[in-house]
Amino acid sequence: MDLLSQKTPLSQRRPFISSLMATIALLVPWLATSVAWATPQAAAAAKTAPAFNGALWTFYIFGALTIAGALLTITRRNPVTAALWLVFTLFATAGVYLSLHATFMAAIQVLVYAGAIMVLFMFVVMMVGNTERQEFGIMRGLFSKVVALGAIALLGWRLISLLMRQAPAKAAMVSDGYGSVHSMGGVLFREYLFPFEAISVLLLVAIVGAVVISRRSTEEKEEV
Amino acid sequence: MSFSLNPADFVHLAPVLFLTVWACLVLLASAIGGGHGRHYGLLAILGLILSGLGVALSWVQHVQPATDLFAGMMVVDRFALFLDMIFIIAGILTALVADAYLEEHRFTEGEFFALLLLSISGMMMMVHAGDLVMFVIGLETMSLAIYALVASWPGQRRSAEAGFKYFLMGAVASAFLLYGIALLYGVTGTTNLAKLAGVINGKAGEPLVLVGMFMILGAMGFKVALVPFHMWTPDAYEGAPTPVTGFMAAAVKAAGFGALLRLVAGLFSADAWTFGSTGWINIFWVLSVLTMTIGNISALRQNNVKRMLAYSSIAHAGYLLIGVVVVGLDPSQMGAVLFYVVAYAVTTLGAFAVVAWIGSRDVERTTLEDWYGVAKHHPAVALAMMLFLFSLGGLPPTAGFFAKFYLFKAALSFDSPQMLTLVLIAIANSVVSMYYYLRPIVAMYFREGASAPKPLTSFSVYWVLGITSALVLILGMAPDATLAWAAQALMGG
Amino acid sequence: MLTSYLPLLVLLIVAVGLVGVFTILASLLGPSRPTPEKDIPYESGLDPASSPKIHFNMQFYRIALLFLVFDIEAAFFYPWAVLYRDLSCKGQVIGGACHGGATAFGILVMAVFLTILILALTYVWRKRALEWD
Repeated sequence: MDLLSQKTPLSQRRPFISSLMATIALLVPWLATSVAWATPQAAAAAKTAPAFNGALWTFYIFGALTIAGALLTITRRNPVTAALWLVFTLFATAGVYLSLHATFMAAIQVLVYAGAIMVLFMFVVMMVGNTERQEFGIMRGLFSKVVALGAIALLGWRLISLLMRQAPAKAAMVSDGYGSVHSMGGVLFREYLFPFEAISVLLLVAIVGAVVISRRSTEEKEEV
Repeated sequence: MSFSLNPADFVHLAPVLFLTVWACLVLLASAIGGGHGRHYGLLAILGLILSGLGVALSWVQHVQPATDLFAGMMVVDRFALFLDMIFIIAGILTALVADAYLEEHRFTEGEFFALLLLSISGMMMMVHAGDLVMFVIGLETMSLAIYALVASWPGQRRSAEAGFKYFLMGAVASAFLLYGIALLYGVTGTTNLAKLAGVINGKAGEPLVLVGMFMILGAMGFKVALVPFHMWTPDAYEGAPTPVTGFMAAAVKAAGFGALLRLVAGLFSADAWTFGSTGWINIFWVLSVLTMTIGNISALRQNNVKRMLAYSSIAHAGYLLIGVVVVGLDPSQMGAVLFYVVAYAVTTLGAFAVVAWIGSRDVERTTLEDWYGVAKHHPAVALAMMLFLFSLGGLPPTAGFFAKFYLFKAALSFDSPQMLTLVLIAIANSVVSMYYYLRPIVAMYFREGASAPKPLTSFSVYWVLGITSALVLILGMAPDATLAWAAQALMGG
Repeated sequence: MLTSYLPLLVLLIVAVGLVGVFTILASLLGPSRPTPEKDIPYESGLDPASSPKIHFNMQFYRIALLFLVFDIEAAFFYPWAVLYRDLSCKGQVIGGACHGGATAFGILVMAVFLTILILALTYVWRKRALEWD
């Protein structure tokens, strides 16, 4: 087996750089437009607002990191690399939660998503095993691609034009301890008590489902 | 925030809670007892019957809806109870078919029935939900159980593939649903349906609400397989074990439409969200035309009866959307839609029971060639299948005829050119659909088979065929009682 | 409030910065003379005998999935543990002491949740889903 030829030559790692550039190219208009949308109203508000809003900038920075991570995730050809970028994205999302004062959610995000779910991702990547790249070529399914791109462009345009009409929400001060374990639990075990108990049924179904679909057929068992 | 647990709430929700607990007990029994699935099927049917009695009792009591159970999380009204009854009947019939089917195809595990019950309790939570959080949990409970059931055929690649496709599409739909709910919550600060409806009433044209609404409605479009979101349906329906397919076509579709109706008639019922260029009614009008036409045209080319019935279910979702549009124009016309749901559920369960009946020992005989000469060997079953196919096509004297009749009548009562066009398109579609509904009949009656079919021999399938054909005939000849019930099934809150 | 998370941010920046600086330094200062042999996966000096890309047993997946679900259940325990004192008190909790009598609500909330969780565990156990065959 010629393993030497399987190793990706260094010269082929260039696509990483180019997709990084592409990501930045996509991010710049996003940031530019998000600033532009805020401008008319923000100009008036800026006179009273403090010069530097740390929470807002934290949100912007982690939001940008999340989008960059997500784009890198879906553009990687190697599933393991994609999974690692997904970890990055999930951490950045935890940062977004933190900037929104959802501290408990941020902790759970790191524990459950970046921890447990990524373990599962890696298992599946390993189990599927065959990571050979498949070349489809740009012409394959060109019609569907054009239709899909057109639909996305139309939808995106409608969405942006809609959101342009949206007046920016007024910032409100959250109460002390908002988003903490304590305040979230207070809601979870009182108003949302019934959904909380119902979730245990949902998780039960998930467990039974996992066991049912991963079961081998009786014939296979006999072979082993 | 003050909070107190009201013991009366448990009584109101007893049928739902009972079924959930019973499902857990069936699961426990199958885990500890082991052995063959058969006993668990009977146990499941017993639980469904008991829960059904509870639902009937609630129906009598709940002339006035109870809307604020468990801090507004759950609602008990006749609309939800009517749908509960459909789920329970579909569950009983599915369990009866599955009983014979699982034994023949060597599924020996009892959790099949536990999952069936859990999916029904998920559906009940979904239609009883008074809060979007509860709605999502119910929907997910139902969906996860159904994904597992679709993929539950051990050692069958098609079944695993079907489950995978369904799961992937369902997960995307759930993501849209959750994002839409998050946007609504962001604007209003509440997830309670009644409160939400009140707040967004005063926010006509708010872009975020609009985006949220279309995300939620689009996600429901995935679940009930409307046309731009229908791609998963034929594969999932074909690969799933046939009793599960029948259950999906009957109960899951009923649950999806029930939830959709509650959303459009309860949450987005204000004129600002219903009408105009960004209202949902226009979009559903277009989707209705697309869904029934594309569903029917795709069904024309199928030689596989199971796949054909899958496309037929898409077409029927298109007809049902006429009902959603009708409810948008006048919520008091709900009865016609619910009657259609009942008629379609009963008919499709019968049709899929025949499909389940005809295959044996790891082989599902679903192509038209497999059906040659069935009438000669099994005249009663062929007659029942003919009845179901006539009902699906909308011919008298079957349930499908009156279902379409009342639906079209309700649509024409508005005297608007759009509704007239919609009904004319639907009638043209029904005529076209008769072509493919007649093909299995021709195959059964006028073709000679190379060999005699070796169908399931268990008696429970014949029970199902008997019950469903009787119901199809009763609904087709004396629809008044059911229609009256459906007309009383009003929403609260 | 959020300022209390500043050390976390500093840690993040230092960690990312340190790794970034070292990576850049290594690529700038280190000599780069790639040979085909250097690209072979390291296997104690021997030539690799087979491709590292193998199919893992289905069991791994099942265990990982079960772990995930139980992990999510565990996430619900944190707020319960923090709030247990409040939930078990009819009146107000002032300074860690309950004024107004105890109630079983706190324990019942989790008991119902746990019962279903234990049911799931029983099911998994009895179905031998945790055993390696």
